[in-house]
Amino acid sequence: MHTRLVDEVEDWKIWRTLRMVREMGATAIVEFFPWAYIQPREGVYDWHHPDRIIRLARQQGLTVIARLGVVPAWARPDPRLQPTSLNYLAPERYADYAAFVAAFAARYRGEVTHIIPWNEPNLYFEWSFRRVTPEEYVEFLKLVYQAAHAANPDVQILGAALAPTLEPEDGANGMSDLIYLRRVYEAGGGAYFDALAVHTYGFTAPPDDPPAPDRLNFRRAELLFDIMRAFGDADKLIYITESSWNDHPRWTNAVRPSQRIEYTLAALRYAESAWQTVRKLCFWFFRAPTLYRNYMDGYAFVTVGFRPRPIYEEVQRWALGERDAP
Amino acid sequence: MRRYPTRNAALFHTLRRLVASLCCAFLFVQGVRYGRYHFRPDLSWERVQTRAALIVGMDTSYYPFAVMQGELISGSDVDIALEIARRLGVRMQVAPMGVDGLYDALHTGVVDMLISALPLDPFRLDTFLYTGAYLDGGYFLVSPNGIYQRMSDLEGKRVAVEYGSLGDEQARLWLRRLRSLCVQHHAEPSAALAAVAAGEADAALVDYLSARLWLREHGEADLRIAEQPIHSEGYHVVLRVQDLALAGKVNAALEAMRADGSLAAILAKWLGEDRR
Repeated sequence: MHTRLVDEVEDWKIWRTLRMVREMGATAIVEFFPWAYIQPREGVYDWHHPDRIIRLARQQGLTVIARLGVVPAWARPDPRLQPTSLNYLAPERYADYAAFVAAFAARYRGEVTHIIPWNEPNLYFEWSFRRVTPEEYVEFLKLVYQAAHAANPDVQILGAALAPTLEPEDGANGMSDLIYLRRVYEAGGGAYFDALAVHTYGFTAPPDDPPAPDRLNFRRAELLFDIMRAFGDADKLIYITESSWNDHPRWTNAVRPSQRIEYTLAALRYAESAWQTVRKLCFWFFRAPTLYRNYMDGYAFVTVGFRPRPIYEEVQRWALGERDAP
Repeated sequence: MRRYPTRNAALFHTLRRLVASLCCAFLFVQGVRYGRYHFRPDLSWERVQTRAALIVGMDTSYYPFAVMQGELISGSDVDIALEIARRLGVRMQVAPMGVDGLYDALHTGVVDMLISALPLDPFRLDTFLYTGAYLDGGYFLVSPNGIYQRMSDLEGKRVAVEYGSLGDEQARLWLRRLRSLCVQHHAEPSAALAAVAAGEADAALVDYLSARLWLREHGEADLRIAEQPIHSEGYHVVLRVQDLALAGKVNAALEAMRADGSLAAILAKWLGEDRR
């Protein structure tokens, strides 16, 4: 389950979220830990927030998959000279990020075994409005991988999940996930991740909708598996760190609430039976600290007030092995 | 006789007066700027009158509130906006846009107000004003002749809901409150209503819009919508918080429409008769 605990202030809310995740039947959470929060100044770490999230997650017996991002101000250019987004990381600062990942991996050795450096680097805005280049990501990943493994040989570095997108190779908003992954492998990037994180959304299609390069659906992930296979990485493990259907009444990419439950349960069954190398299927997202008041609210499994939505109870029943949806 | 014992003391005194004068001037300018910003006259109504047009932002992809077919935009929100404009003595101009762009368009002054089935957002109350609700789109019980008005009336009964919906969520809560309640799941609200009409369920808990539209198509059914919602979600007209004068006019027009039945007539045109 993908949780949203990073902006949660009170301990009891973190604890209650994690308890409900566990009670639903999930065994792992994906959580975002912003570099800017943890290392607000160069050389100064504040581990307070990740410490309590990870401690409380472990109390519930949950595996934590940590996604690390958001560049602190000190690692970005002076905004008076060059305004930049929060994701801006110049190549000369890759080593600083790698040092942070190494510090994270070392601190949580034995507690956090999976780390995802960056998020959806095939999108223009996620790559800080710089030109999206898989080869540059490989250079970045190489530094991170080596630093993290030097600090903690047990850690698993996951190749950052790519955004499922139909953008062409030189698209205005990013690059096709299929082209991007192929170029990562061609640049030798396969050596610098122990497993691959994948994002796959169903949108309005059911989970058995067949994959195709010009379609965005749940089984699009299989096209990524094909690329891995083509580059000799067939046995590398895969973690689906974001997936979901949305039931917001005013979003064109949403489905009806009944379809959302039906598709979600079918996706779990499908992933369990057909995707042998997939270790986790995590849904976006469990609960948000406040309402977004837009289509994003249609992804939540639990309301802001901790009331389980029906999809929570149906996934819980599936996890308990009870009967399926009517 | 020299007024100051040294030249430095005289210079210091002059500098002090200069700094004090500059501070006073700065405070005065800031005060004027603050006053001009916060106590500026509300010309929102005059602006609409001068233009002789009320510009209304709408999401034109939400049936039956507003839909665009070719050049034509129609729907209940369109008719409500037209009637408000008529009562204000101006013409109405629709600014069609996606739902995500509505509040930004209002905030930046692209439109005068929004009518687009928008529920009240408490986090926006410092920036926007909401009129009284013109429709409650929440979840209501629907039962034969309206015999079930509250969830507590359903002890030992069967309630039909759309699987996974907010109605389902509410029904599951009531499963824990009543000694006996049977919750029937259906793929769509229409199926839940059909189950009640067929006598397979005692009541349906569905959203108001689905109930009205289904009842319009099934005039023969003796089903009635409960008077009060189980889960309320009012739809409001939204204006900028500084446009109090215009908001007052719009709210008054809406209230008048409610009082003389024209609001109900518009809703009946698009949603069918209000069967309560």
